[in-house]
Amino acid sequence: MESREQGSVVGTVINEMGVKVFDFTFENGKARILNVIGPANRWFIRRALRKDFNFILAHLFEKDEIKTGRRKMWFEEDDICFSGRHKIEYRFSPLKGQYETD
Amino acid sequence: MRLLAIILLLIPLTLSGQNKLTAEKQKEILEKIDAEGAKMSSMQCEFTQTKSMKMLSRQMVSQGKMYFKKPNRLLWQYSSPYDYTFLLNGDNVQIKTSKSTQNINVQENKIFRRITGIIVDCITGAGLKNSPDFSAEIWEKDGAYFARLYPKKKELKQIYEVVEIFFNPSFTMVSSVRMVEKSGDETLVKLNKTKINAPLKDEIFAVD
Repeated sequence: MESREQGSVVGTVINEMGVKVFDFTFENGKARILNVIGPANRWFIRRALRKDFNFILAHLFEKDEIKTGRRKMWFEEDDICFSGRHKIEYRFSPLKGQYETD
Repeated sequence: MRLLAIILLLIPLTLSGQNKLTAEKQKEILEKIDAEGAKMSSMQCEFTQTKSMKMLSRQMVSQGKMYFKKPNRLLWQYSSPYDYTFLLNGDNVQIKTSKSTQNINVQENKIFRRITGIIVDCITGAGLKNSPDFSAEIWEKDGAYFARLYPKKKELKQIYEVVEIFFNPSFTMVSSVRMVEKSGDETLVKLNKTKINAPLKDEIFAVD
């Protein structure tokens, strides 16, 4: 995930073996889900992801537990945890390792 | 005019330095790859995986080790920047992270069955000749040969544009694999310190 100008964020969700699941952007308080991997590229999946990421990215740098309706975000050590509707849970762990810059 | 068109058509291939081999030569190379793949009973190596994403300016580099023992045991283990293990032992797949362990029966999961088959074929180079999942072309670049694989099935076509497998000159081992996704992202896996047919203990592939 990277920050861009004027507070916008772009990111990519990949699995450990390097396969991309989807890209996302967050600008002016709205998330967009892009380039979703084929089997998951269904309107209801994109909608669920967009709503969840709207919530997650809007509150990413807050330190307290947040709960709104069925969506809840909390922190465990360095991880950011989120549970939303449809029993979907996310855990964001900071990577401690190697990156290269183009 | 026609001559000019032909010349213009040939220029891009020449400038890129990559040449697709003739059908006869491709068949010969595929036979060699298949023959060398058949001789392999085990393989182990270290790998470096570099992921380039269109959305991000940074690449992501991860490292680990791989162990393979015929016919169907594979340990693909990341050590940096995260702990993640993909273990295939016969019909069982185990995915292990620092926080969880997940066991999957390959026979009950069609997608996993296909994925594990593809991984093994890409790593060993075996099964390229009559692969049900990819059509293969053999190319040459700077004196080295590589296989360019185009997905045949819909599920793979949705993810991958092309997979390239680079071999050492004697085709006894794969040196790197490059996967280009439909979205333009690329993953390059370079294998090094490769050992072929060294004895591997079964305990390496034990499922918890």
